[in-house]
Amino acid sequence: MKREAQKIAGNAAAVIASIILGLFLLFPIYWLLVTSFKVNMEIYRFPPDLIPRTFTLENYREIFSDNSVMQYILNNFIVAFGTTLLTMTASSLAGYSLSRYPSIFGKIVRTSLLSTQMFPIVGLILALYVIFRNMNLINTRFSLIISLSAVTIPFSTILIKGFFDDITRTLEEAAQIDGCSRLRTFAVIILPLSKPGLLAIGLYTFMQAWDDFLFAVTFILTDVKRTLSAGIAMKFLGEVSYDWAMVTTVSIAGVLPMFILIFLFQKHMVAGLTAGAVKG
Amino acid sequence: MARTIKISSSVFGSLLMLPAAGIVGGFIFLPVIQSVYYSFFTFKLTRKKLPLIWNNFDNYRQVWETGRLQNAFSITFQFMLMVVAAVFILGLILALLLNRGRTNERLTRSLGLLPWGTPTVITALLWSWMFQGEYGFINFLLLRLGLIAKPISYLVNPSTALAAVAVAAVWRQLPFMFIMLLAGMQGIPGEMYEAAYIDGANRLQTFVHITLPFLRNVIRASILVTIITNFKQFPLFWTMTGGGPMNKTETLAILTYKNAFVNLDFGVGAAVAAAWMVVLVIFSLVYSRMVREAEY
Amino acid sequence: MKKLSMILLMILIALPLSVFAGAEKEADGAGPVTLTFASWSIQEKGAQDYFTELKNDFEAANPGVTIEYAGYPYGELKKQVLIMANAGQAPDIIQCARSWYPSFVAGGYVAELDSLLGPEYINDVYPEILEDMQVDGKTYGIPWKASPFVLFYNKDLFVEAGLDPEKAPETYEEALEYAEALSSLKDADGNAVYGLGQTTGAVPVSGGAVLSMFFSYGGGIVDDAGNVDVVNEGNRTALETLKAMHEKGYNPDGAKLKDLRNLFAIGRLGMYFDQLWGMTGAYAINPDLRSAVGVTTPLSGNGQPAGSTLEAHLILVSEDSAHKEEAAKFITFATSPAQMEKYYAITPFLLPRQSQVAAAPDYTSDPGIAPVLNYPETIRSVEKHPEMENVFLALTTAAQAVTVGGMSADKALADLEKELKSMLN
Repeated sequence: MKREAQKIAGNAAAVIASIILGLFLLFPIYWLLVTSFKVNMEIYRFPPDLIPRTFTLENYREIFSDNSVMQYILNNFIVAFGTTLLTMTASSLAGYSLSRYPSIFGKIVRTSLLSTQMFPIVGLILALYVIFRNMNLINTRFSLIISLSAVTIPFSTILIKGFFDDITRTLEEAAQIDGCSRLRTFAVIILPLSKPGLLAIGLYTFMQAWDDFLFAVTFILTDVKRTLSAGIAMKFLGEVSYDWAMVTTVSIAGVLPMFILIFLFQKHMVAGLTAGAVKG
Repeated sequence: MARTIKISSSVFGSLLMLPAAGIVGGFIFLPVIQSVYYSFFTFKLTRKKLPLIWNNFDNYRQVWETGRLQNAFSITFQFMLMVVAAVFILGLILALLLNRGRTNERLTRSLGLLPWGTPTVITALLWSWMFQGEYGFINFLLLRLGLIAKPISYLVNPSTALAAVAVAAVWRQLPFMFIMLLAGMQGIPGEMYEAAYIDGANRLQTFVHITLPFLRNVIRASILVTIITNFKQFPLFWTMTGGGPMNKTETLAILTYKNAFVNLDFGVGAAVAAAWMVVLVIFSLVYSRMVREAEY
Repeated sequence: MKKLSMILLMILIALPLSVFAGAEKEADGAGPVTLTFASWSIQEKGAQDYFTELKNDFEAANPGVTIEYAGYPYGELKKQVLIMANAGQAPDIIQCARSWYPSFVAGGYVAELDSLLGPEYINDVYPEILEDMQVDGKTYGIPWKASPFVLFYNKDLFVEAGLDPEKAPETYEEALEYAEALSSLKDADGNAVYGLGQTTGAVPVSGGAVLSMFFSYGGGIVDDAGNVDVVNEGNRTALETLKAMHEKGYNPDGAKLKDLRNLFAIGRLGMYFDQLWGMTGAYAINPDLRSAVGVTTPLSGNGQPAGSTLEAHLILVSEDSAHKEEAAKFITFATSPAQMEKYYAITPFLLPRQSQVAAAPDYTSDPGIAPVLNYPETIRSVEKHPEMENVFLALTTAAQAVTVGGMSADKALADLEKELKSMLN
């Protein structure tokens, strides 16, 4: 009897907790969405309307009147995918090296790279700009891909090393006896076995790159190459005012592709992280 | 099979390191070393560059003596602790809740992940607007619930500003923590729980003796990531409070920025950043040592 | 292995030291010239078409010269120009907000304009404005758009509160009385109306607004000899007024100008101080507001003559530019009466040159401008110090301290003086 009552109370508490946490996570998104359908004067009403009084698509028409927002989103994807590719390549090679060819050199590199991750980006943005200028890379999406990769590679390397550590060495020995080169062994045998790990670092990198603001705002100066966060700041967070109707609308437009991706890939995300998470 | 030139293992290993070491070395390590170097010199961002003069830790002394550095350390730590604690506890609750139910898993999980797909800059805007004093939603909610008597401007009130920014940070980071923990939980074999129930263990006991120990690696990794993310947090503060009110949200990132680009004193800005890096490296070393010892 | 890593480490350390070197810009002789214009306005809503046209018109009038816009968000532009200039890639022309001007001038980034623009142009500028722009008699910037902190008021709310909509307050004392009447009003949803808005948010421009309030009460931050002087009667009265405005609920706490514009647009703010072009933000939200807006010059406080900082967008020429002549031509072109008239159609502002004003009859009769046409006499000069932007931030901190921080005006001023002394030396 007591056990039964406890169970009911427990379930009730769980339901309440779910509702509160769910609202906390989702209401702000709903609020963005609702606001994007409101006319400007209604946005500032207090008490606020939970459903738009006058439903309008005018805001959407306005942000899509030219294709700059689409361009920002596209650029954000290009940069995020580019970064993900570069990071996955570089960090799986490095992770493999750390796992199979441990050396003092590797250790030093690893520690110093990890430590410098703790340095604030604002403190090194000037030096980075100079480097990109010398390489003639200012106002290229490539500069964003490189700098973002530099930020994501260290963690990804450590993460993927854990996966390689778990793969038995006998596979490589066997391959070597068969006359397979080391690089080929890595590409054909080891990599396919660490798919979940690759997925995990890919995900981590993609999310980091997707979120970039400071690099984009510093290295990009024309609209055709600008990414989402920087584009929003440039176009809708002006000196004179924040145009909330526009900001909420462009936010919805900007996060929508990401939401679709999350919806489609969340199963793989969990799977990848499950394998990755236990490694730490 | 064409034989390539035989190279020794250690050289091969180093070659594999090269792309990663090159990118990170060239684009993070190098600039960092440079900034740290400048932190020991009088280095102003003026057009005419004066010859670099070693200034005997003047940059460090300067930020220390005005008390701004200590203030920034304290605020950064407060913020970090607040966010990490909240993200971890809420993430754990959320993961436990979602690990039980099997209904509409895909939809609920995807929905729970939505804030993660929202760029930080948008998060900052969204929450500044929710917290707005005159027409913000939070005031509406709390007034309705009778929790406050009159509207509060959360981001400009010295006693609420830091917490308000923390709420925005928690909102954005909770999904990451929750998905990591959930992933970890799904890796725990179900038989473990069944066996425990047969032995008469209650939920709390299984949680303490099975779930937590199994999750410790996940917890260690995701907490470390959360710590570093929040230590480095810049866009949220810059957009939501700019370091105000009365420097109550002036974190190390804001202080670095202000010194370098508002005051044009790059040397001092670099000093703040360097001091911060040292503390954070020590902190993360101690942290991983601590976690490791707690485990074994 | 150890040796190798040591060598590598040393290379890594030595490399960055050379990074700042070799940042010279290649000088080129004749041939086509491209001018980079770093600006935040070019992509803002409503202004885009104007700027495209400006570029086209200028290029048509100056064959061989191309304008290349480099767009950055308003909040990032100063940092961006500093980074670019230090990387040896300074833009030729820089759009500059008033609060950054001292940094650029004191940092040596901008070229002297006296000979580039010529005496005719320079002497045309109102003397009070010129004084504020000059360092040691040399001019480094001329406002493109200018304004003091004017007082905007909502005539409809004035009528509702039983005030005469055609009689704007002239002093702080009057304005506070008006504010009392206005703050008894409620909007359609029953929300309180704020009487008198003064920005105190943690952004540099708010510091300019606070300083203007100091000026209007006869205070300031430096004495005649240029030494920091903050603890004085004028500043104290100003801060006490701010404190009273907070306590009586006239002024929204810690508001940025953007917040005030929104509140003004939706009829929840009766009067507030802003730059003239700030009203564009309010109109974007509520286009019907236009007919109800009144504007007047800065107020005088305690019988002292009204004062304000000069608020402006400037166009500066980079000291590192290889094409200063062409850049100056662009400035002359962009600020010609014909161009200014087009720009003026998008957003209101005041003109810094007498001939511009004389050439614009529509402008002088505009009721949104006419009451503040005599603005140059209220302009007070501020320090041209590299840390001036930080001084502005410190001023907002003082304003927040006496309002949301509950501190006494005396304590806040003492703190401020200490801080400003360390900044301005």
